[in-house]
Amino acid sequence: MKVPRVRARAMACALLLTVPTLGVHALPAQGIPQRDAEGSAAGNEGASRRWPRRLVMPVVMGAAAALAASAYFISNADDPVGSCTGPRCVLPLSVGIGMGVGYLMGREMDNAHALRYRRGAPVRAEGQALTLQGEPQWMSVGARQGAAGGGAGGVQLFSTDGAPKLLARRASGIRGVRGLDLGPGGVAVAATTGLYEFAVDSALGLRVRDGDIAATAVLAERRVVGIGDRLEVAPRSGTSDTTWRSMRTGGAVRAMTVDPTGRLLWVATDSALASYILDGDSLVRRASARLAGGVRTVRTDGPRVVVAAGERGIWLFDSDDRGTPRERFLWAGARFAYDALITRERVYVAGGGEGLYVLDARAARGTVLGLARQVGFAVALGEEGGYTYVLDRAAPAVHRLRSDFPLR
Amino acid sequence: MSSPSSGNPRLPPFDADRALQYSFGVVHPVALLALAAALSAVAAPVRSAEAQRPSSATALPASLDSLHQAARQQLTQGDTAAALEALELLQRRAPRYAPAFFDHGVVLSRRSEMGLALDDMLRRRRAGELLERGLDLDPDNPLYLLEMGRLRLKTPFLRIEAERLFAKAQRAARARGDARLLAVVEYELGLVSARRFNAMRNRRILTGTTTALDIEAAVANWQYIRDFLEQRTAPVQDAGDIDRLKAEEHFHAALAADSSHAGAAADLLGLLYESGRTAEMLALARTLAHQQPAAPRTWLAFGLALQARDHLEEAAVAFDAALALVPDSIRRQMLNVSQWLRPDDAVRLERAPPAEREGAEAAWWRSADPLALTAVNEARVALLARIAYADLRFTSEEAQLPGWRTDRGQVWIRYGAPDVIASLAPETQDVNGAESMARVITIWWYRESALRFVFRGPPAINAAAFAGNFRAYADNARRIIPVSLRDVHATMQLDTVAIQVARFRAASGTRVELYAEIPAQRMLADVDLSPALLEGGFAFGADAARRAPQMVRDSLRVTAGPSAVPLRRTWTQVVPPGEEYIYRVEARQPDTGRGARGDGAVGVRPIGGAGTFDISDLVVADRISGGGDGREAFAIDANAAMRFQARDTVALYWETYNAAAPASGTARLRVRVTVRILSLDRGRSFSARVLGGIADAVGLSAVGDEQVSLVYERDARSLAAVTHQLAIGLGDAPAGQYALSVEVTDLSSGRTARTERTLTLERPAS
Repeated sequence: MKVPRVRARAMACALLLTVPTLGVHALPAQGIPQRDAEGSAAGNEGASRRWPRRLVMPVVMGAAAALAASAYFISNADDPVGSCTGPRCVLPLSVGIGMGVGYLMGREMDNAHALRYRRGAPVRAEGQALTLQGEPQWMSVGARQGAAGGGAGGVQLFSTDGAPKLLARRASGIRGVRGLDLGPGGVAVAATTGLYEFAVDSALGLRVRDGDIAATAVLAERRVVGIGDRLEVAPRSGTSDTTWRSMRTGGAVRAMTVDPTGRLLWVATDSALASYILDGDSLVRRASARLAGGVRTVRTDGPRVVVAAGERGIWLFDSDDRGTPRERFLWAGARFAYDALITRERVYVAGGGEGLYVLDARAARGTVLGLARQVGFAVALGEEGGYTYVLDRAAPAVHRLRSDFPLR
Repeated sequence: MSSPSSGNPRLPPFDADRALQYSFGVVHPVALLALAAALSAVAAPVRSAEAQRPSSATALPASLDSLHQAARQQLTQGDTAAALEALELLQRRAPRYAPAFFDHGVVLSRRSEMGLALDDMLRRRRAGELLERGLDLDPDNPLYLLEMGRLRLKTPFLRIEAERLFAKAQRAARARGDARLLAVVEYELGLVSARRFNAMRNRRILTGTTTALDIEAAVANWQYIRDFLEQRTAPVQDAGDIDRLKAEEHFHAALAADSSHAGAAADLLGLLYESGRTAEMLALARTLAHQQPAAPRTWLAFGLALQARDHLEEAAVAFDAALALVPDSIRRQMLNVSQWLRPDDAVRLERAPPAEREGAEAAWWRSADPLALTAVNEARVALLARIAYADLRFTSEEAQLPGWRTDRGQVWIRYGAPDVIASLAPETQDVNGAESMARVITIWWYRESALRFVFRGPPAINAAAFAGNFRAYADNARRIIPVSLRDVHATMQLDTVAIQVARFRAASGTRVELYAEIPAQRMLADVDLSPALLEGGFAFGADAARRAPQMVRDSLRVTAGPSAVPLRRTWTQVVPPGEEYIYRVEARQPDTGRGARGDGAVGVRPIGGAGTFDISDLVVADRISGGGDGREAFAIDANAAMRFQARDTVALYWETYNAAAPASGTARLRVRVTVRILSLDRGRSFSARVLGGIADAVGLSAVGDEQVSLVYERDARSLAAVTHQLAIGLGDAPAGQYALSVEVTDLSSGRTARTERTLTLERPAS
């Protein structure tokens, strides 16, 4: 008489374990902060194609359990001993437990997915990669070469006219690297100990300027550096003049870049983005816009300027011919924006461990098109010849992706 | 049976920033102060929540309201028994007044400790009933749900229930728009995930037939741990990663709701550091430090981030700011040099008079400073960074200990980050092992020193203590290695400046010559700058002054790269005899931060005092040129390291004083130069070492009494000071250590003076 009761209980248990897989999959994960409006941005169509693992895993685990149970019956089907040893009890119970466990596993997987892709749908960014040494954190990309550096590995030069290949290493051991600027003649290294210049084809470099150099760029063939709250212009080469002309910016200089014409300098400080031109030996400020700190890099493609500002996100500005910036949007979707880059219709954001965010550069507000996690710990970006280079600090490696890679 | 409302008088403060207070050692204050802190902290959130309660649960006649206020006043004054009586009375008179039940429940909850002790279980049960009653009367009050969750956390099997209650409190706080309370709830939720992450990170699974770690074998045999980690475990990729992400989300949400939440700031910064995201940590810490200027943990974390990003001078400032915010007693404990000394030395230091102790501590910090050439004491910054890390990562509310006082914290502060950290899943097989059952095992392994430590702690609680006999092992390890700064030295690639010191008689006092060899060839080998700068520093002073002698600095432009050569420098000081002097020679390559250092002490005795026949120190050199009556007539290229290779020539210089004057006016001196083998370097070949050892034992080789002597006699016209110069060819002498002694006998007076050096003959590079 007891056997049916036990069997009934077992069946009830199996049923109870199975119910959650069917009914509660839509419930939010316990205690996880819900995505805000900005986070659930448009363009998450990739996410909708993903089957919730809390539905998939119960099926998988249930099937596995059924398979395991069937193995048991091959030898014991005709020999039931005690309660719930026959196929009609063991099979549903095993499947039920398997589905229950599968549900819990799937739920965790969904939670993980939700956390990882909270601000963008997954996209695949595939290309070539070059393994580097050390822990590079900065990158500058030119027409034929790229340079990645910082940390113990020095500055590693790689080719950009095809799949990246390691060319040489420079500046080994230079500590406190804060930026690189690759030019036709070589690479300039901005560091807390000074400004260094290394020729591409020569192993020996030179410290050309003392001081804690925050950023450097070449404007109208003159080297410009940012030191504290000053901009300094190198003396004209080929003359006896050794004086660096200096001007104050009103805030600590964090990053700078020159537009594609080489005539307009963009400088980001703690509080402002400003444009400068060179008039004789002096810099002249053209226009500016407000920033709110945290700046790491500034980049431009000419009419647009993007500022990566760490935890504050990225600012995208439109600029007129005179270099007047007009803020289009501030996007703070990434936990930390290490770097940002504009390539035609897209804004790429190096989001550290989150991966590479792809934003719509044409939109009026920050609109995420996708998130590529295959690039590892993305800390720096560069673009050359239709390819985007992503520096992965963790691997470490440089990834070379087509700048218009499909958002699948 | 004790009453649930009596017993343990300790009352952890009711505060959203509990971790901060735990961290700085105010977990066990006297009951009065704790109760006062608890009540004052309770009051604000309660008032905030009360304002939004249903009126039926908060309406109270004036007479009863005064009773409630009186109860709170009694709690503030530390009269818990009276306060509880008043609250019970209030509950009877106003059975639908929720705060009376809540306050009573909170007091009982605070007075219960985690675990399965009967006393605590009863107190928790009663607290639960009271809080439940409060929730019945005021459903979905986020503060009540929060307290209920905290109470559930104290029961090992109800932690999931606690998380559910926190999640419910989170929704309720959001619905009520109570940002401060929401921050507290988010923080609690973050802690739940952070505890799981802490238990899971560095997780390894056992492979093969291994079922458990043998703690006793781990204590006894260093190879066991090495082999266990390398051969019997496999790391689990991304273990705990989801919990880390969840914790980050909650801590961020807590700070978004209340940017002054110091606990969320500290724990979030700790997580970022743990993930190696120091750039993010620094940016956030910089912001938070300015938002929380009075939060010492935030400033400690800021200092840690700066140190991790190599901004050492700023880090020193941030640490000093943090230390200025903690009570004096805590600051003294944090900076107590004794913790980095051998136990015997620590006891001696503790017992020393204050002035002497202060001097000894200052000398210890000076000695620990890798390079006095830099503006900051890198060792101090590194040790404070270790304290900061221990505080951020090992602080345990459950164990009521600040992280830097825990077993893990003490080891971390002494030896820094281990090379390998591994955690093993809780033991479930050994049902008889009460100590090991259901406990997470954490292993720390330091490869170079072969130090290993094993900790054991409950899962999902950030607390662990030494396993087995590892406490005794740690005490023994401290006797051998009281502190390790290898990480600091590795970062700076600190090298050694070889120094040879020689003392000569001078017209007034003693002339001390220091010959230093700066290893520029190693410091600059892969520096691709031309020219490269090398900063130098030299300090020399009487040790009795108990303060660092002024360092004389200079800089040189030198050739870098593979063609760099060692740099030899000489300093001369004339000092009065009878004291001990300390010296320090440093070099630094500013572009790379690499440094080298040599230091020591030299006692200066009177040389040739009272007209006695005496001898100077022996100078060991590669070359000596020139010649004449005085030291100045010789150009000495001293070999500071006293290291040579086969076929080299060893040049020697010394002086003798006060030779007796015979009638002829020319002294007759007999010089005996003896070279004695101290040990032979037989290289790495095992067979060569074994055979060599046997040969030494049976007297077949040169070690032991074997020595070579050279004896000659010479005349000396200058009796007061005679200069001596000699060159010895080493020929094919085997590699090893040699004692080189010079003995000079004044044949007129029969007096003898002797001096000695130890040379090293290096093996040729194969």
